[in-house]
Amino acid sequence: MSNGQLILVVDDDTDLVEMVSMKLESEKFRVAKAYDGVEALDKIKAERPALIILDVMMPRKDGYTLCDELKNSDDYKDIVVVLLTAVTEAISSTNYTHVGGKTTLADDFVTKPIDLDKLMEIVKDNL
Amino acid sequence: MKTVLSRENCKISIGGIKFSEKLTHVSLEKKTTDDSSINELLYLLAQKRINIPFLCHSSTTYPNHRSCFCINHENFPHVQSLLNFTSFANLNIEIIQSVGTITLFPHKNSFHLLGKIIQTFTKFDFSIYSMSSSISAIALNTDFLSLDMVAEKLQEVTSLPKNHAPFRQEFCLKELQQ
Amino acid sequence: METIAVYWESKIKVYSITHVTDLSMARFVFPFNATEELCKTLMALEDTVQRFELVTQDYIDSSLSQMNLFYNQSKQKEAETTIKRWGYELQEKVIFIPSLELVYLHGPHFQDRFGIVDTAFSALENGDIEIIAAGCAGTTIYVVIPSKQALPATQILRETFIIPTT
Repeated sequence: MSNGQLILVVDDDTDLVEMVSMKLESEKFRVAKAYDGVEALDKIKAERPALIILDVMMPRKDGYTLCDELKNSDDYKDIVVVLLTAVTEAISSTNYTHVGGKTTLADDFVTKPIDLDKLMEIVKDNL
Repeated sequence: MKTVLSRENCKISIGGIKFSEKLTHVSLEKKTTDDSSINELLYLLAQKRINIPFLCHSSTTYPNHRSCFCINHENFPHVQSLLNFTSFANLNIEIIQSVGTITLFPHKNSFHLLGKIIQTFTKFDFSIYSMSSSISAIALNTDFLSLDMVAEKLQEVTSLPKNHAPFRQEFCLKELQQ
Repeated sequence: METIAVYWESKIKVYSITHVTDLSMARFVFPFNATEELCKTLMALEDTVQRFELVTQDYIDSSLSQMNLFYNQSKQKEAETTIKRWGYELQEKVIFIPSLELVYLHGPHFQDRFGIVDTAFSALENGDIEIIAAGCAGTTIYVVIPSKQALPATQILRETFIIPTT
């Protein structure tokens, strides 16, 4: 059940943001959108989503940096973060993994190209 | 006095604007309808590993089948050498050397936004060499040197999120053979 | 601009392949001095046709441009009435083509990767699917095809590209 929870979708691929948003809305979630890490942080502060679907490779502020900022913040560490990553090997597990200089505290991850049904399962499992 | 704003005067809320790198715009018109040289050219571009970030194609068109596409400006010499092949002698070809794509998103399938965008281009005399929508966005090709000015004028009819500034792509992918 | 190297895929992965049926196309061939009228017509279509499915435009010569507008066929009457009302000078130059279908696919970083349009178009051509119009921008490839071709076209594209599944 979605209970109309708010999901923030963050990716600089605007077509992907639209497709994921349509899928989430069809599952009765509310959706907010952002297209880079800086804009995402503004949306998080203003709208406090229950879960963030966060691309890794983005302009201005990448997904790893934003994820670390959120998870190290008392105000936002409880927000669920699901990373979208193109490089599966870059994140072999989701907690405190250090690969290629990246540390991530994300709650879960999905590799691109994403399977929308799998992404929906992950979203629901994490809420 | 109470002021009523009509939709005509309201700014349309969008998520963002982005610019492409400098591109070259190639327009092709077939002289005969049974000619497959456009497909052949797409094949050759793929063989030369030349990316096409934008393409429009229209058959059953006025007066003949037409296609246009953009390539990275640096790839133009390679494309020009392909266009010199005799198999493309049946095409009317027009090249515009310095073009940029301005992309507005999301379009929400809105005719109103589409009309406002084209109206703004027209009002300030900016060229539209070609245009296509994607799932989320409307991409328009205009003169590369006009991109910043176009974005400024488009912000007179659209409103962007407060922390957004029109941006250029910061990275691109290069495909390697394994 | 930073360049990130990735391995070329022998079979290209896509997020999805989707089709839309029952579309109409309005093709406007218009002189540049009729653009203002076209804009008013487009804005009026917001209230009657309500949404477009795809729009493409390119210029024909130094004085003419053409726009292809695709929308749900159930709105054809509304489209014609609106164009007649607002696009008085345009209406003689508008061609309506009914019963079209659309297939679109999108995938990761398609705007940066070579050969994807060629792969899609070649597969459709080899399957005898006529491409009436196409628009590729962002990470999306739209292909407009004749009536009753969406399912075979989708099948061909599903065999040509990979859609990841659980």
